[in-house]
Amino acid sequence: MKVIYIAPMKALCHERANDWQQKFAKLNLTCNELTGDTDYTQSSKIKSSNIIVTTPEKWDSTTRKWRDQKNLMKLICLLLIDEIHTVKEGSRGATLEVIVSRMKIVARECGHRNNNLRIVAVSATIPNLQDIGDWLCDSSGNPAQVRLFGEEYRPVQISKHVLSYPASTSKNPFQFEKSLDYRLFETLSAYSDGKPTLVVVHFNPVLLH
Amino acid sequence: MSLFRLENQEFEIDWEQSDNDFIDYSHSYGRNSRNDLNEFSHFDSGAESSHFDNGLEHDFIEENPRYDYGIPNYPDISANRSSFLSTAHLDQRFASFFSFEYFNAVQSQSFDLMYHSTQNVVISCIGSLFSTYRQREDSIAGASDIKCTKNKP
Repeated sequence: MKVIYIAPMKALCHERANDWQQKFAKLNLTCNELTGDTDYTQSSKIKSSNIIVTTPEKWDSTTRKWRDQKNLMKLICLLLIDEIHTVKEGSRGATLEVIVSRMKIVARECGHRNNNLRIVAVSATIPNLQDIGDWLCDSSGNPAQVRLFGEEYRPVQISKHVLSYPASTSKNPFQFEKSLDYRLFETLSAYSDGKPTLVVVHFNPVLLH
Repeated sequence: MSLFRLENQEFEIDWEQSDNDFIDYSHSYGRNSRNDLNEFSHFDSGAESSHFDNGLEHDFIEENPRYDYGIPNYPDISANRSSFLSTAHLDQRFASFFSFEYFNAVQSQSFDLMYHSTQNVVISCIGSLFSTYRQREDSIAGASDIKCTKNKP
């Protein structure tokens, strides 16, 4: 039995792999990382491990010729996808889409005993979550169960304020940034109310209107 | 939003103390305390009797009926512990995976689905402030609770 965990960043994969190696050692399950940083000589070790932590790109290149390693592929019973909202991001999203679709084909062609491949995906807020759920259907076509946890699930409620400061195009952007620094105190004292405050400055030319 | 980072982050917030309006604490504590776990014993015995050589090899999911844990639907998280599911509902071997005693609200709500079914699942969580920021467009349309202020340059 194998579990595949796919996360978009190598750093996240590394963190997961380190954590799970310790935790799953108690159950005699091995966990290994398969990313662009992984040494080629470790490939046999990775093939034999129970949990494979990988990135979409690496998994794509590993499974492109999956028909040559059907014995390995049919052991996969659980596919965990972290941050599935990255599917909207250009070429990286396309890679993720390809591997999910490929894994669905794998599951259909060489399903493990009676078990089908289970897909569990976690995402940030997606407006059309149900579409993702329909896409991640099982081999008999039942759409995935969709759970949406909204704003009310924050342990500490956040009150949000968006302030816009239009920059004049003639101004130097560095100068503009500096001028924002001077507004910080004023902003904090207006909204923070003595409570912890996060200030996010998102400089986006598209939003400057 | 990562499921696993959620475990670490959200639970660290000390909701016992952070909120003034926690009431009903001693009463509601009993609901999830270990004394009450006897009613879930069918669940434990099913898993123990099964031979479990490689940890994942045996599928004990099918043997256990789905159980209503009595977790109220949101929103009640700041008030009492009965909104949360104890990690003791997990099999003993897995409970030690978690450094905390109770799952957070999101984990509690999705526990049954994740642990007792084999269906595919998509879980979406409100996450970073960045995604909040993206709602700005909604807020202009009046669909969000974010307050926008436009300043002069």
